[in-house]
Amino acid sequence: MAKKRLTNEFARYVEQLREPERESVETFFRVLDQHLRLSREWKRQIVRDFENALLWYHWHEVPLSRALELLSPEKLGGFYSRPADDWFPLDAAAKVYPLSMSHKQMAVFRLSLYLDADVVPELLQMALTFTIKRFPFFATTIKNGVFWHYIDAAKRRFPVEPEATVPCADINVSMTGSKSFRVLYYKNRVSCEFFHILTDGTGGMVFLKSLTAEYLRLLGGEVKCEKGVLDIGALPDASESADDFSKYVSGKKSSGFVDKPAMQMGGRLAKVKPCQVIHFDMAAEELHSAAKARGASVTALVTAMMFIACKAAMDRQHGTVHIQVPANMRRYFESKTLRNFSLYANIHLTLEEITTVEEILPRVTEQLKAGLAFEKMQEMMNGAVKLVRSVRLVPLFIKCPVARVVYGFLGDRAFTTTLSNLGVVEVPEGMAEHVRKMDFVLGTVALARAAVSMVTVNGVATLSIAKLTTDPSFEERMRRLFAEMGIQIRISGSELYGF
Amino acid sequence: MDFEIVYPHIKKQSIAMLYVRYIFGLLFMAAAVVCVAVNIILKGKAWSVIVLWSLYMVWTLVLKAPLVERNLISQGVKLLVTTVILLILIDWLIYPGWAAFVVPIVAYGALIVLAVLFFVNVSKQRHNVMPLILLTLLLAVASALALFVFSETRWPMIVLAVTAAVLLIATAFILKTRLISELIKRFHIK
Repeated sequence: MAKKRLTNEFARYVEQLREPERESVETFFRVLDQHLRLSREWKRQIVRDFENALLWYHWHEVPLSRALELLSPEKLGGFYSRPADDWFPLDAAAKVYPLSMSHKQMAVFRLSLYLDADVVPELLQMALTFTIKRFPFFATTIKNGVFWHYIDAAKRRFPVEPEATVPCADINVSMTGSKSFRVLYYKNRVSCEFFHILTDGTGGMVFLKSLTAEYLRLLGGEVKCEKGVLDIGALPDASESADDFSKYVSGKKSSGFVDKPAMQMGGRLAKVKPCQVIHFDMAAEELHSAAKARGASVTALVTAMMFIACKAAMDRQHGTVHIQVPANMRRYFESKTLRNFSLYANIHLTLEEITTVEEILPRVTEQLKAGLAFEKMQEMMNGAVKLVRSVRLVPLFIKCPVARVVYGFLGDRAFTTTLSNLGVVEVPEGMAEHVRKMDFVLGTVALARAAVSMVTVNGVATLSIAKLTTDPSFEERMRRLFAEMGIQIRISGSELYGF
Repeated sequence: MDFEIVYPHIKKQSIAMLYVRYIFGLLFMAAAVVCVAVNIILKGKAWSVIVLWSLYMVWTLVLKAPLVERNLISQGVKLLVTTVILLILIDWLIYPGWAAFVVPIVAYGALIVLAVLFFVNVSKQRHNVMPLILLTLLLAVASALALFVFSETRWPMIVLAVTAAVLLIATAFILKTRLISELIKRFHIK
């Protein structure tokens, strides 16, 4: 009914235009039609998106000529007019995700950007329609091969949606042409949630920034294509969709992934994952100063604080706490890939060793330095690629159940929690003044009661905790530690979604 | 800890499926255990195997649908394969002597339905063609082999073998080079 009303409204709008304007609108839609060679339903929906955007411009008194220029169908390129014939094998890191996923567990992460005004869904939709063509491996759907999964091109309308589920909720990737990411909006927040097969935090951030830049351009702003914002008018570069694990693997020494089981925090596991998300916003300068005063990096300081908080969330007195710290491999190797290119270091301390932040910080720093050393990362990468190659001829129907069991026993049990720090994100001129802050939320895994992630933009550092238990000990201890260091934090988050 | 809520309220419906699957899982497990126990206590024919297989069918087809590639063709193929197994189990465990006649007819009917689904929307369904190709290949070979085993019930198998072979050729003719690229994708080891 609402759709029909809008179509009628657009028809009325066109009717009241003067003859030359009406002709320009008709020409616009004729050109648009030439750019859309999709199924009737997708085509109808995309045309309606253009109508809605034109109506929005009309209501906001943007001249028609300017609106038609901003929404020019030429910006679609040939993306929607060519058949979906492309496909991509999964990169070495991504291969585990579809193998180990289940109805209860899917590796999804979320990046959000908070603007200075509420999001206009009509324009965000157009921004996504224009942006997706620059990221061809995002416009894909996952498929079963005989030996490995792969991602197959999907030409369709990619919709933006109002937030209606828990953050990092499973994405339905099962249907023909299903997408493996979603773009959501809520008030002034634009969020992208990605199934990890597509990309890692760095690649996801490039997508989110490029999408937001295009959205701001559609609002009339001027945003430069720099600092991780891609020119959506340019052709995709093959190196952006390359599997750089295979490129940089060397036949030398490799390391395994098996580690001793880690202690897990207490608290009953919730059925809804995550059962709550909490954000700590703070001045990046204060956090940086606190770390500097202790002769450590921000990641080391927060990791040390997490050890203390983990201990506070456990009843047991003996055992080892493991914190997984992902490492961006682009720091070690020349890479333009927007797909997965990260590994991790495992930092561990026994419960007896965990005393105060000041006391454990040198050990954490030392372990981080050793764990994130180039040689260590190279060995781990060699090990990952070697593992993938060694099972490449095992059929998928055997690999899937085996991977699920192995991942359940080894993958999740090997760490107590995770700290993924995306670092300082730079945004280009024209966009920076509209960005209040960002946040980065990791999806929870099977056992780890909390997943911690961090991102800093425009001087605001946001630490996010995705919870898998209602026990508040971990986050309460983190808050106290920040307070003890004199770092002012502003807390926000979600309701408790379930138990 | 008190803080500002910056996420929308989530309707219970969006998380209800989690609980539905959990409750049905428990009910199915209970039904399976009770059936097997009653069957063992009462002895006689192993009817509980049929119950177990039927529960498995409902569980995999309805409640725990595949996470990748769930479409009409793949689900249709799965339904056909599990139904054929169910029929064979009934024939074998309860009332023997009719499966060699009925199974090819059921498979033939299902194959026609799947072929219609494919041919009415080739541009969309070409992405889902692989299960259909594997099924037709399997049915063509199985029914051809069955001709030698079951000498008295030949015509349903002949019809099935010919239909499957024709369907396979028609699919290859329509998809042409796309069939090759589909096979390359499906069998890649990169």
